[in-house]
Amino acid sequence: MYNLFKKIIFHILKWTVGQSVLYKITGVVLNMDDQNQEHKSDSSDLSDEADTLNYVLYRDRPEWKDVQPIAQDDGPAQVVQIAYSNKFLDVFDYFRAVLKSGEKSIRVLGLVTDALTLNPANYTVWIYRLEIVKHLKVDLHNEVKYISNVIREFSKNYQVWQYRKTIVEMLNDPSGELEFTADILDMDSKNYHAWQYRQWVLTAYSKLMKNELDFVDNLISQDMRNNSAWNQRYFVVNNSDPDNDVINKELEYTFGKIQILSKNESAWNYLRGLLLYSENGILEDKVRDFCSKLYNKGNRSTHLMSCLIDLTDADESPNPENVEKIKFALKLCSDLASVYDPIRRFYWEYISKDIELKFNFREHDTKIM
Amino acid sequence: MNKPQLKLEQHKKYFRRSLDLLPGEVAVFDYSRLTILYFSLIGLDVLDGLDSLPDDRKKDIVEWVYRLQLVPNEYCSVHKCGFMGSTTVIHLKNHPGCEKYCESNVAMTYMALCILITLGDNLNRVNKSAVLRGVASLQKSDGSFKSNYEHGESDLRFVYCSLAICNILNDSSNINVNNAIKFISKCLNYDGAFGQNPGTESHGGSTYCAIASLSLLNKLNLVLDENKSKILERWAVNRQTNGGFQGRPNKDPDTCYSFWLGATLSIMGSLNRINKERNRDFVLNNANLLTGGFSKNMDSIPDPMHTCLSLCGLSLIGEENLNPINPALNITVRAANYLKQIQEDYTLPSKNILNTDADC
Repeated sequence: MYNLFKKIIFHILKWTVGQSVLYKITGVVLNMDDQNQEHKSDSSDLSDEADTLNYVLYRDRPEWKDVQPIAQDDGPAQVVQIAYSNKFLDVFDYFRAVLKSGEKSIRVLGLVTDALTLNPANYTVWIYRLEIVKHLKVDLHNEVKYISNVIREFSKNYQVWQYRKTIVEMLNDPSGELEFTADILDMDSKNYHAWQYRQWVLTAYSKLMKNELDFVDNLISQDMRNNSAWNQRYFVVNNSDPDNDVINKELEYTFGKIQILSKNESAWNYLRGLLLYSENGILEDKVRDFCSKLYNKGNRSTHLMSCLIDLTDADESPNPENVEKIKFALKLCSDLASVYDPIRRFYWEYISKDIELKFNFREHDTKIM
Repeated sequence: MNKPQLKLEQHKKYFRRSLDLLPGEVAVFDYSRLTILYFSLIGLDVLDGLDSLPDDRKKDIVEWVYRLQLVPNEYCSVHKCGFMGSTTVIHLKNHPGCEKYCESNVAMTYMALCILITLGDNLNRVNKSAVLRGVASLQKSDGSFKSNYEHGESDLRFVYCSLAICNILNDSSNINVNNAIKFISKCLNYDGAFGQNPGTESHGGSTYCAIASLSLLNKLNLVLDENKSKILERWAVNRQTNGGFQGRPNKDPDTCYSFWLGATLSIMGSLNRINKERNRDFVLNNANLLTGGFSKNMDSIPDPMHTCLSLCGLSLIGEENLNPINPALNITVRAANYLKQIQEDYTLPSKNILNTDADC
């Protein structure tokens, strides 16, 4: 529905504001067909222009007069060129110069800060920043504050998290890290970078693990479909060397969540993970019992049906007593293929054939329950 | 509703534009311009559109890529060798004391090799032993690989790129293959798919990296027994929602996952179990009919990566008029066949690795 709306807006815009403006809005540059097009150095957009009102280019700063900027050497061929803004070119021309001269000073710290704002994905600038920070003996706590702000702006960039990790390792002080990542996850609770970083913190400083389950609990309560939070739950439990009690508690917890939202794949996958701790099929029996009850109440979640099929499929003893069970599994496959999960029709047909083959089951009557 | 059609010429044009000049908004890709080149050229090859580039242009591109190669000399030790992603700091290439700042990146080396093969270059000027030793120096004790030597992060992405490079250059004697396989196994999660690092959430992209890596090593069965394959297959087919594929459970679909998951399933021999028709519709509905190119979803604008991977995803499910691709290397079958041909001509290592720029 939302997408349809977007499309309509797009077409209305196309006819009202005209195509060229629309292209500008959508960030697509027109007229790029000409292979010999001149290098457009001034392609600054509106926000860039607003910035430049107060911003002085490095080449116009008297305190930088002693530095000879170095232009990018792209060679004779023009390939995947970028129409850099004036500001970008200026900052990186000076960055190239200091990288070559090796100057590590307060003014260069300012320069790399500008360079990183323009392109936080340039890991060489981060490497150089680290060297300046070490050389000037910059207070690393200030550096943590700095990188926190950068991450808030570019939270899905790899290099910013990598830099944070380096600084925190140097400080050997993870005290603010859980709070910080919680903050970022508050903006996007599925941010892969933030989760990965958080796992690193918890692994490197294992004492911090003790409240993690509460944190995860809270996120799952807010959004039961948050697969990242379920994964973190497994990470915590799995690292705690859980005994049977813990696993049983987790099983009950998951049953509870599934009863509220039975179509949630994340919870079902977590259940599958818990079964990896099963010994002698005890957990499987509990899960089978839970699933059968749910099914008999009329629940037809595709994940519930998949789980019931898997429990039959996992049974390695194809004896005549199982005939009814196998028939039931085949019926589930058929129902999934035709009614409940038609997008995966071919998949369920294949699973059905696979079960027939495995149990040497030639014909099946799907009408039998 | 009419079936959406693939506008071949429009997408070729989109890629040709990307090969020339990109808007200033993409300046965050300044340090990895080679990735834009990779996606544009592979995409163009999938569209069977390389012929639309003049020979001189192809030559220019090959030269541009070779300029990004770092070879061992008195200013560059062998562990920094390979390809850089851009010309941003190329002025330091032969500058004393600057090798920390002028270093290769394993993803860029992988893409550079793919570009060269795709354009019919025989890799004669690639300093193969230096590249291979550069890759080896990025391997950590846990078996994973870093992106680059100085403070580079490590995860399955760079394991894949490293193994693909060894596969292309037909030599994995410099790396510890067993440790790499161990690392991949550790990334296998409770839900049957792979995270980027041990413990991190399963993801379509990292799952592709794991499966493609194992496939290149011919070791799929070593990590995934019959049961594990089945669980992974379930996880992967479940990523199809509303037609398109999502990267993780309960996330929105995105065109690039039609490749990451399509290729995963293709390598596993399970691609026939998805709904190809709905997948096709989803991808084609995200084509921009004004500018060419594909976006990740309706809320975004096209970019070369999503355009290339959309087309690769379509090719996997047998879209007419598209060249077939090799899902493990992500180049066309045509390019992969050419690679096999030139691999026979490689004269491997023993050559003096201290080639200078001029020598190679």
